Amino acid sequence: MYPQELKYSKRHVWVETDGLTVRLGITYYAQEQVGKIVYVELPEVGTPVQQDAPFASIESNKTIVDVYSPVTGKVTKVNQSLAESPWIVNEEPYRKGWLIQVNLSSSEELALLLTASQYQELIEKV
Amino acid sequence: MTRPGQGWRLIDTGRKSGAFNMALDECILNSCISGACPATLRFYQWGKPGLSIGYAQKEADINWDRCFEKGIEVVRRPTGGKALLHRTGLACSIVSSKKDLPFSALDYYKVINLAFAAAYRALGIEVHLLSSPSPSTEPVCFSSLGISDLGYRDGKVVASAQLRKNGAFLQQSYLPIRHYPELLFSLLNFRSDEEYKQSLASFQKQAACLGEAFQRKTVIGINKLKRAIIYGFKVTLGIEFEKEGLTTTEMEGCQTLIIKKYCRKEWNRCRKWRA
Repeated sequence: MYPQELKYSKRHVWVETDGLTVRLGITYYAQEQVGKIVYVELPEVGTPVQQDAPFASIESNKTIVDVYSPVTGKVTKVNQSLAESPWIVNEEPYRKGWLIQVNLSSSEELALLLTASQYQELIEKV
Repeated sequence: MTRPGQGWRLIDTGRKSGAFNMALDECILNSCISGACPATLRFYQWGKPGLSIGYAQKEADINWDRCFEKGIEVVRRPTGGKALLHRTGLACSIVSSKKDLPFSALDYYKVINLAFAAAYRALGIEVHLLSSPSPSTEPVCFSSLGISDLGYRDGKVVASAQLRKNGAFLQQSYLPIRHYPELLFSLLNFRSDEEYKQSLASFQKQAACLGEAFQRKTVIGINKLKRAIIYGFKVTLGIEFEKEGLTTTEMEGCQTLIIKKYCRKEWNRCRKWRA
């Protein structure tokens, strides 16, 4: 449920790193908490994202929830397929359900992220 | 002013425009996030009939020309869900932080609807929490049932939607006294006659209201309903309310949001706005 190769934020976002390029999505726990997702709003390519600021909104069960970025940088890709099929985030949160790709301003923020086991510990306490 | 955890603020702003109502709810949420105000229950109504649509609702769902012709104000909510006609009925917004209502995300609807359930029972109406949702992609709120919606017989009697942000949440609920399907459905677009008929049939089956529950035997006073809701929150959640006004920041923020966001077609039609 929480792939070892990914990093995680305390606000339930996973981070896949490849140098200064990272891919972000919400964790299995987050998608389970919000329920069946019917709408995902993503930023446009080129939009700056800021650590701890919202970068996406999700609607599920008539509820709008913000998704917070664990990193600072610029959006280089967005998952266009979610406009037509937002429920992919529920079905495959770590693969087809990724949200955005970001070019980092600096890699320092990555050091603050949790490992899979640290994240699992965190959600067990919630 | 009471602080979070000690008591809730009770505000009654009476009849106002849709833009005012949405702007103020957003301001109160921001105020709660910043710690400037305690958890808040607000009662409000629409000054004249109006349509509120969900945050992510498609622009094409609404017949904008018809709304204009009929003088119906359309406002996009900061919360989710689908289109809702506000005419006779009471709206409530609940703003709270996780600290004030320490429940898991999925429990918030349930907990608040239990308070509404206690209110309806105090009025002599037997209601229940729905356990079998029938969600739909139709543009009408009352044509679908969500889990933990408040039910009366086969329908739902309270419409609710939420926005969660920075550890706080806003729930907007609408308690209709009467429904007006002919007017509501004339303001919306459907992809086909078949979809229109299905949505109308779902609405007629599933849209309950206080008027129906009382079978027109009793005139339902809005003030009586407000007192019942206060009682419902008190007995269900142990909440004590204190009647208070808005802060200066909230009033100023509300005016700004009306002008920059909720009165603008960029927001109401296309969900675009600049702070």
